[in-house]
Amino acid sequence: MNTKTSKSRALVYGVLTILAVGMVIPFVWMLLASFKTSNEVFSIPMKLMPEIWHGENYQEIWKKIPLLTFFVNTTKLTLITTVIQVLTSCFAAYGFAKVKFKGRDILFVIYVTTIAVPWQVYMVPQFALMSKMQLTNSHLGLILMQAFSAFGVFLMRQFMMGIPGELLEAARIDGLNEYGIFARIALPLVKPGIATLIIFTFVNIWNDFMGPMIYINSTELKTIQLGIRMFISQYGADYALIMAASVCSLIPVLIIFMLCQRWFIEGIAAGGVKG
Amino acid sequence: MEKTLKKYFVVFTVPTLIAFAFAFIIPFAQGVYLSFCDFTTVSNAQWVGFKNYMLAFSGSQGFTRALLFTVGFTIVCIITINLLAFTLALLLTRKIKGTNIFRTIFFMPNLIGGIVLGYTWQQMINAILYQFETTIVSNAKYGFIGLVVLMNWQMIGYMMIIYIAGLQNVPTELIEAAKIDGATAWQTLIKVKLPMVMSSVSICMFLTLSNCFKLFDQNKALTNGAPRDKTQMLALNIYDTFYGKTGYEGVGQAKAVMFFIIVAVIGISQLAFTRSKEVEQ
Repeated sequence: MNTKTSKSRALVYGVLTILAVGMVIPFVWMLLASFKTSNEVFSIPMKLMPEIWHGENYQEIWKKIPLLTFFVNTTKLTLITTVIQVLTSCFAAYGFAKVKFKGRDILFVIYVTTIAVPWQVYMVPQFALMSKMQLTNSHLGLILMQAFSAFGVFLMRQFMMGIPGELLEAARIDGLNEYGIFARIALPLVKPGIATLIIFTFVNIWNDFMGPMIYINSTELKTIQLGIRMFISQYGADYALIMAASVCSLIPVLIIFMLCQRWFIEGIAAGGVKG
Repeated sequence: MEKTLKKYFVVFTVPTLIAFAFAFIIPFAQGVYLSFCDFTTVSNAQWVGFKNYMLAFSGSQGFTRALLFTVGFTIVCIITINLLAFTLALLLTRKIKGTNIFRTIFFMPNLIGGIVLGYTWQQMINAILYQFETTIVSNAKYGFIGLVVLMNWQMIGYMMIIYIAGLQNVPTELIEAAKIDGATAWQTLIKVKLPMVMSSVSICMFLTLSNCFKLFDQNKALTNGAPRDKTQMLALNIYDTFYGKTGYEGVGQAKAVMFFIIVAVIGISQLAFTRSKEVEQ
């Protein structure tokens, strides 16, 4: 019996390790390719390790395109949007979860179903609307467009639903007003949800490509995701530099993930199971 | 009491609903209207009836081809992603050490943006294909397989986490009871665990379906439709119609509306189907 379980345990570890290696390979590739020359990336026969480590790629990327500007822009957009989106989501989620009003649940369902609607359907009229308000080719426009998020409301509502109604009722009887209840009782109880939403929003806005591509024209307003494409020109692509810039773009996201991953994973699970 | 509650509804929910109306409902209604119009800007629209819808299906538009490619891609991905994610979840819920490290590693691909992801995979696939003197854009088959592998790599970890949460909610007494009744591991899995995690299956199927169907960034970065738009998916096809050439805005809009209807119909029927298999706990 014992040898059987230890054998099956070894098998499980074997399978998991092989798959984990498969998961990590693209990251390793990215890192190694970022130290190669562009020709070396596609060498015949294939080589994983760079012949000479071209650390200067990491200096080159900042000179060849205004990558620093793109980093500043992306950071600004991501931080501001994340803060606003988390606030608006918590606020609306509390309304949908804990304030009773007529038609609330049907309204919520309609609101949340729109997550699945492809952007292409309303992309052009939305652009026209934004352009009328002179909000295209501006960071403000992008921020306003993403200030509210149906997904954020959905996720936060999942967590808010878990707060016992008696707790809020007790606070009401103690004379706390609704904002006080929201800020001092509800919010502290949904911290894991907030952490989850922070990472989700951060990663999404940081990696957003289509939004800035459609809304931003001026080079000085562009983001990293758009910038990376500038290493590809009609004369060819600088594959090593693309990878070096990609590695740099991943670092902030990895740091945020490592900091909040415990809550993050819990949060996805909550969103998926109770949904 | 009633009055105060109404006030709070206004404060908490109405800002979101106003934003929703401006950012979604108005442009959406306009979008549907414009799909029946000829237009270059939203203000010069002229009603043309179903013309755009007819045009969308003409051969040169590539809509039907993109639709077929997208459907094929989505079916393959739904099967592979969910099978692999569920298997991983089963392995990672067997009280073994180090599950957290594995979970973190499997989840990491979700942190990369679609563009970076597409370029990285394009390089890796091309580096291999170069050994055989070919590239990913030389054959639509390579593009298809490439997209499937990429999508699996990115989404398995996410779905795995939802499945793990589902599996952890299955009461242990139920599994114990099945064991005592002499059920094999396979029978326990099919007859006990699977029905109990149907709500996770529902969500995961829906997420894979909608993410695969709407895929854009990865498609654009990996092949950009090459060769000759044969690996172009629906979202990219619509994007190219909007921004590729002028005069086809209405057709693009009609395609987008059909895209929406297809996503909605498939999504709703899938949810209805998997939901009907769910058991009350």
